[in-house]
Amino acid sequence: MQGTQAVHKDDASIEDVFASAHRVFEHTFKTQQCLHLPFESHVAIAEPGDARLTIYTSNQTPSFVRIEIARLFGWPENRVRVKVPYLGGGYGSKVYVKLEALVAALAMLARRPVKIALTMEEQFYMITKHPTTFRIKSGVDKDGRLVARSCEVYWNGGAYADIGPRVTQKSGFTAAGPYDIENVSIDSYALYTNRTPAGALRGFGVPQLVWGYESHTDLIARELGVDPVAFRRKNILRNGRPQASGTVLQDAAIAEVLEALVARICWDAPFDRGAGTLRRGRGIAIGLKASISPTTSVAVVNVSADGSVYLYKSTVDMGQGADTAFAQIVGEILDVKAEDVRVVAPDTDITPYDMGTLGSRSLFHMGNAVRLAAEDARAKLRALAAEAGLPAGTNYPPAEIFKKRYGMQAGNVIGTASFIPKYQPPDAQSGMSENVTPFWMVGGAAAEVEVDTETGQIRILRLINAADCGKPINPAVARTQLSGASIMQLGFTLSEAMQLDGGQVTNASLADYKIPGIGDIPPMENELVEAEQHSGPFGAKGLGESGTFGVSPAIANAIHDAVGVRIAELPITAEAVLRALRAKDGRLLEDD
Amino acid sequence: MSARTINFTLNGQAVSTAIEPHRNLVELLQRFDLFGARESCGQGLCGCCTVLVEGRAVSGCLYFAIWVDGKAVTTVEHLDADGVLSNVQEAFIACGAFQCGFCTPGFVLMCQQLLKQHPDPSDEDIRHYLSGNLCRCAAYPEIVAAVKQAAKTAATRAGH
Repeated sequence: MQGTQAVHKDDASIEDVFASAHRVFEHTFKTQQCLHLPFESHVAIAEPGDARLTIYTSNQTPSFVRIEIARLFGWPENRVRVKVPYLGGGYGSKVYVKLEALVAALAMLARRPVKIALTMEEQFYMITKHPTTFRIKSGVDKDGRLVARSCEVYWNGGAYADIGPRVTQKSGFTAAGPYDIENVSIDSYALYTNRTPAGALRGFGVPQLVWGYESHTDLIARELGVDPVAFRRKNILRNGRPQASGTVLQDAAIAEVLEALVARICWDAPFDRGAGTLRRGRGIAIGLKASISPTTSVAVVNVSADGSVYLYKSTVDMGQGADTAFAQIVGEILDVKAEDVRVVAPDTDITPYDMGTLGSRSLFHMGNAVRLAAEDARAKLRALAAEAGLPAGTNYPPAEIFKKRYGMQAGNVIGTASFIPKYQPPDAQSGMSENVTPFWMVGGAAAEVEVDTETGQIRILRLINAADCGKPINPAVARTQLSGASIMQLGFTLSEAMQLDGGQVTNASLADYKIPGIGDIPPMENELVEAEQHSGPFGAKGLGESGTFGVSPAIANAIHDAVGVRIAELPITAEAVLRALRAKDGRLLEDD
Repeated sequence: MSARTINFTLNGQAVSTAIEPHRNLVELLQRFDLFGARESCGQGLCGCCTVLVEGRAVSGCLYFAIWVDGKAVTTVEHLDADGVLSNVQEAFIACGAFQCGFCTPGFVLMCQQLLKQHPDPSDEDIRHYLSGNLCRCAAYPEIVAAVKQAAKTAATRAGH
């Protein structure tokens, strides 16, 4: 066992607070092992050259791959070239080194290019999403205010660390949820076991935590006889107040996301609860995530002599629309059309360092680097215009500036910038930090479900997603990110589960591992809650994961509302619901 | 296994090649530098390898290459052969009906077939036809919107 993160706001006294609290609630929630399953399985090619190596790979972290492969050979970085085209999906599965060291070693031995492409079945042995056990305990005072919360989270990381310890730490910061609680204790443990390793899957551990704390929150409200929304409103964490880690909340639209969900689902309006064997219920859940910090992004903007523009960056576009957003940012600053900005694909011989495309960090981190690089290019263009004797304050097209300065279509202007946000590492003893994240992500869901009490079947009648997106750079793309993340989490909620027998996966195929298809999509509404991320590029923040946060607990809470049973372990199958219904009636199924 | 010579029409062109009987259609197409049909699940469940054979959608990963002998094969690369994107392709772009794009060729080809048989498809028709195409990025709501838009533009084009 490897303990990796503890946050204790006031450790010594927390047991005293529990002892003197009006009510104390304690629950355990579990999540299953599932996986990313991009349709383009991991694939890499290594091509040996003259004392160097070129690697073509489907990977979210090209700079990291270069550094690691160079380190393995004891080479300088510039002898390894890593090229990454558009990915056929990633979702966190292609982070860090995966097949690259293997193809590199084989290519060096064979002195020939070597390719490895995984089959779909092999993906089940590559990287997965952590199964978790989350013990959560809360103390509430007479006014229904949360006064203490302790969280114990166990992350089943499998046989190798991969990015698991980082997931354990970073998600651990927000394990107590988006609530204002005076006394908090968090222990987050990364465990080694004999399973397929687990890493980051669209949410960096946060969906597993929201599953626990929002199920718990709903149970507390029900036990207290308080409306679950009213209970959340009373306890919600607001900007300007310290979060459990000690970092003051800023630019986090928690209340706004909650209220958007409440308004959309018409929480206060009369509601058809169904009849007979078909019962209906509603549930809400909201989640909070800290970004991955401290991480660096570097961008280069190149203005050619005819005024056309290149952007060099190592962010990987895997469908999230990063290239589009960055082209828009460059276009806005240099006053060119976004489609006229040539965004160069990651190639470590050409594109500068980036920590990686993960944890919804790109739009904020690389977006800021791109903005600063474009501003640098603009300043240099102005300087060039002055050198050329053009009057200041006049908006000459770049092509004219180059021609005037160099006498013909010649030259370049290179703007560059590095961006690394401020960060304070958590105190080794207390886990506290004044600056644990450069920005906060907020997402939530509201669900209306119908439960068939004879079969346990669940039908989602409405699924509403809302997320704080700062000021969206591209609202259409932002909306599809929210929707796609929610549907992916719907799979992890209702059907996806790796079945293991003695460490072997027994359902390692799309025939036996059920992901959402077009027939599984419920009526959905997606709301981008506009706010302002003051430190983000044009007020924007990352969004790729926020749509996953609330889905699972919103559905479990709705099921509880409909039929009075609590499902505490994912996935929520018809069988699980039926077993719970039968247990409630004292008519256990034969094998229970 | 020894290769066998097959003759077929590939995207409008008569072609001939020798291929081993155990190769599938995706592997055959790769020999012609056509990479739009992609093998993913390898079980005919995800639809990423969809190809039209005699105008009918098949799973390229389960379809033996030699079976196309004497037949007409159409891949996604052929849809804009006249320099103009098909109405389905246009609608996919307009509706943002993809994210990573890996499954998109399969969806586009299946939608071509759907609209040929149901020019004005209901939601049920759409779900039925696309139930064998999976999208891990889950662009399903946008795909449904794209099919409807393509049906509309096809009707407009036909009306001219």
